[in-house]
This record gives sequence, C-alpha cells and structure tokens, in this order.
Amino acid sequence: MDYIVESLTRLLPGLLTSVQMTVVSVAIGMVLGFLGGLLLNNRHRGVRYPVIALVEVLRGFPALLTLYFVYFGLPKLDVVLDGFVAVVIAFGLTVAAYTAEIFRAAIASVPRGQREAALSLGLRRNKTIRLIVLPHVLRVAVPPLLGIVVIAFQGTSLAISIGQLELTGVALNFGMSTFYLLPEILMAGALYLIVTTLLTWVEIVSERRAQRLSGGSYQGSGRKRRRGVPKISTEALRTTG
Amino acid sequence: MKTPNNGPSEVLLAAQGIRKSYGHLEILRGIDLNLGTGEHVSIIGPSGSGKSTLIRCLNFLEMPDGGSIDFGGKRIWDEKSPIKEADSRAHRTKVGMVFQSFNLFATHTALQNVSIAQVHTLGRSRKAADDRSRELLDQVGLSEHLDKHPGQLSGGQQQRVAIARALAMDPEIMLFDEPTSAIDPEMRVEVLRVMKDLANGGMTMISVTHEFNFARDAADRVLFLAGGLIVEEGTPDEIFSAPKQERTQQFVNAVSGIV
Repeated sequence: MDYIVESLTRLLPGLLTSVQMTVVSVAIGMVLGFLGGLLLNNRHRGVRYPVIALVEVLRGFPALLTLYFVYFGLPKLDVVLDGFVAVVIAFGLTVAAYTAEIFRAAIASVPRGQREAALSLGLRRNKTIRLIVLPHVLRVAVPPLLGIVVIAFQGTSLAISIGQLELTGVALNFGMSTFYLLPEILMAGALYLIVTTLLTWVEIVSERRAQRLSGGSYQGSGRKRRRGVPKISTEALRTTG
Repeated sequence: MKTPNNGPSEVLLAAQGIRKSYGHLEILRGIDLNLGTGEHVSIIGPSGSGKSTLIRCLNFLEMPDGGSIDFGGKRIWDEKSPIKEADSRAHRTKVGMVFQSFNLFATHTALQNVSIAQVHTLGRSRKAADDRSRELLDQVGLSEHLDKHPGQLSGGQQQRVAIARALAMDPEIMLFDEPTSAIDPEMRVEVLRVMKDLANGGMTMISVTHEFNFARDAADRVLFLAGGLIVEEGTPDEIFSAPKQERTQQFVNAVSGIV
C-alpha cells in the first residue's frame, strides 16, 4: 500500500506531462488537420494532390522517425528545438495527417441536399458553413477523432527516446535503477488504462450521437470521394503509434 | 377542382424558352411557363422528362442555358445577363422550395429547422422566428414534435417540417419537387392535405407530382412534360379525362394502372 502511494506521487507528474503533450499536439494536429480536410475537398487537383502527398508521407513515417527528424534532424538546418516543443510539433504533424483524412470524409458526408436547402432559404455561404456544415462535420468526426486522441496519448511514450520524461519515462527510469521495474510498469500501465478507458467511453457515447444523424434525411453525398467514408483503421494506427 | 381564383390575376412568374443540357444530353428543350398570382400548376410526366430540372431552374439551383425568366413583372434572368450571387439569393428568399428528399438539417430540431433562415436570412429576432415557427408547425399538425430531430420523425412528418420551413420565409411562390415520392403511401395523405390547404388558401404554387388525384383536386392547370418539352397543357379535367395527345393518354393510363 505504501508502495502504491509512493509510486503514484512519482508517476502522477509524469502522467501530467503525458497529458500536456497530448493536449498540445492534438490541438496543433486538429487545426492543421481541419485545414487539410478542407483542402482535400477542394475542386482543383493542383490543391488536392500536394496535400495528399504530404498526408501520405506523414502517415508513412513512423511517429518515432518524425520525432527524430524534428529533434535531431532540424538542428542540422540550424533549427534547435526544446525537447517538449519537438515532441508536440512532431506528434502534431502526425496527428494532422491522420485527422485530415477524418475531416475530409466528414466534410464530404454532409448531404448535398442540405446545402441546397440552405441555398434555397437564401442563407449566405459563410452562414451555411457555420450553421449547417460545421455542426454536421463535428458530430460525424468526433468519434474517430477521439480514437486518434487515445493513440496520440499512448504515443507520447515515444518521447522517452529523446529524453523527455513523461509517464513511461518516469516509470522506466525509476524501475531500472531499483528492483521495482515490474510493479512500476504495472502502475504506469494502470494509469494509461484509466485514461484511455475514459476516452474510449466518451468515444462510444459520441458515436451513438453521430449515428442518430443517419436515421433521417441523411443520404450519401453526390460528390466524389477519394476513399470510402471515414475509413479510419485504429488498429493500423496502433502499430505505427 | 380547386376553388378558383377571383378574377384575372397578374402574371407572377413568366419563364420563356427555358433550355438546359448536361453535356450532350438535352434535358429541357424550350419550355414556356406562365403563372398567375394565386395559381397552382401541377407538372406531370415520365422520369427524366425534365420536370425537376425545370423547377430547379426557377430558383437557380440549376442555371438554365437559354431563355428568360421574369418574376413580379421584372426580368431577373436571361441568357445574355447572368444573375449575380446576391440577386439569386434575394430571389430565392421569395421562392419556397420543397424537395423530394426533405433535406432537413439533420443536426437541428424541427423548430430550429424552421427558425434558422428566418433569423439568419430575414433578420428576425430569435423569439419572433420561434413564434412564427410554432404557428406554422401547428398548422401542419406537428406542434407535438417541435424538439425532435429529423432522424426521429417519419418521412411524412419530415416533409411537413420542410414545408413549414419554406413557408416561414413568407414566399411569394412555392415549388414542390415530387414532395411525396419518398414517403410511404399511407403517410402521404397528411402532406397532400397541407398542400391542398395551401393551394385553396391562394398560395401561388408549382407542384411536380405523380399524385393525379391531388392534381385533379388542387391544381388550376396541369402540364404534361415529356422529352424536355410541354406536350400538352390544360385543366385537370382536360388532361386526365380527355387528353388530346396520344403520348399524354399513354402516360395517364399507365400511371392510373389502366392497361
């Protein structure tokens, strides 16, 4: 019991660092990802194709490699970053690549008829986006986005590789220098589990809400899609993360 | 037959020689359509005859390729002078549109669907808009469903919300694009009743429909469209009981189930 309390006082600051890394990198990633999603829906190939290429590269690179590139590679170009900043930039880019695809699909999933209805009611384009398209996009995109948040959260453990001590780092650091490696790993694992379970629960609830949208006048949009509707394989992400 | 309008009415909408093609496919090959204030015209015809395209051209959801459109005595569009975005938006606020697939805003409740454009297009206060929406939703028999989302409503109920949403803009004319085709047969009755009430109440209307009984009861005039042209035009009695053209007769018989 004493060990658990003592371990928690050690690990909780690490958890806080993990959460901070997740929040900042997800914030960066989603803003960039939303822009990417808009660009991927652009009519002109000249706009779409470079974005597709960028997304594919960032998804193709393991997150660890992107992190090394930002932290060890950029200094060769005289860009030296603080460890935490490097982590959130690298993970932010990876998150952006994955969420761009989610946002693209969500934007394309707004039924064309709803835009026509907005037009025929005389709504201006910016109001149509704000009042009709955005609520729909968020409702559809939130469940898969939360899946990305879970993976990003676990992915922050990669930060140990550049010496940033978050939850995993703190646990391993202590565990390896004492005889408490196994219990320390289990304690850290339990903390990860608690956070991801909470996030997954929110994901399931939001998914139910999103599904209600398809009960009604929801029909596939008439637009061409680059791929199927939100095809977000979380399994595939886990292996890269 | 619909209650006739009192006396001669001025022409509200005059479309001349409307043409529209998609690539090599000619959908509309020169359609003339005049509509007096308070008049209700039903358009019938086979699939692909251009019925929907025609009424979508009348509020510029599709841009016609040729012809001209006058509204309220003013030329608002012809092939030489393309309409500006702001002008087409102004025109659309005067034209209520009801779609085959309802097209309600799925993230909004019935009440919000009816209020949203009153607030954001007409600039009414939220309260004034909601009051008007309640009144209209009551009129179409949905006062118990104000806070439901489209997904929780039947097709017939959704379409009545859509009608209320269009009426909330106080349109000068209502366009109905096969409003009952996507609804279960027994749920159509309520929608048709609302439309009939509107027609009898003096609303200027164009309805594209396959509901002959409705057109017979509620239309002043019926247009039979085939192959992008008006084949025949007349009173409901003339078209349904004594069509002059063979093509009209074929179509009317086929739809009525007469072999």
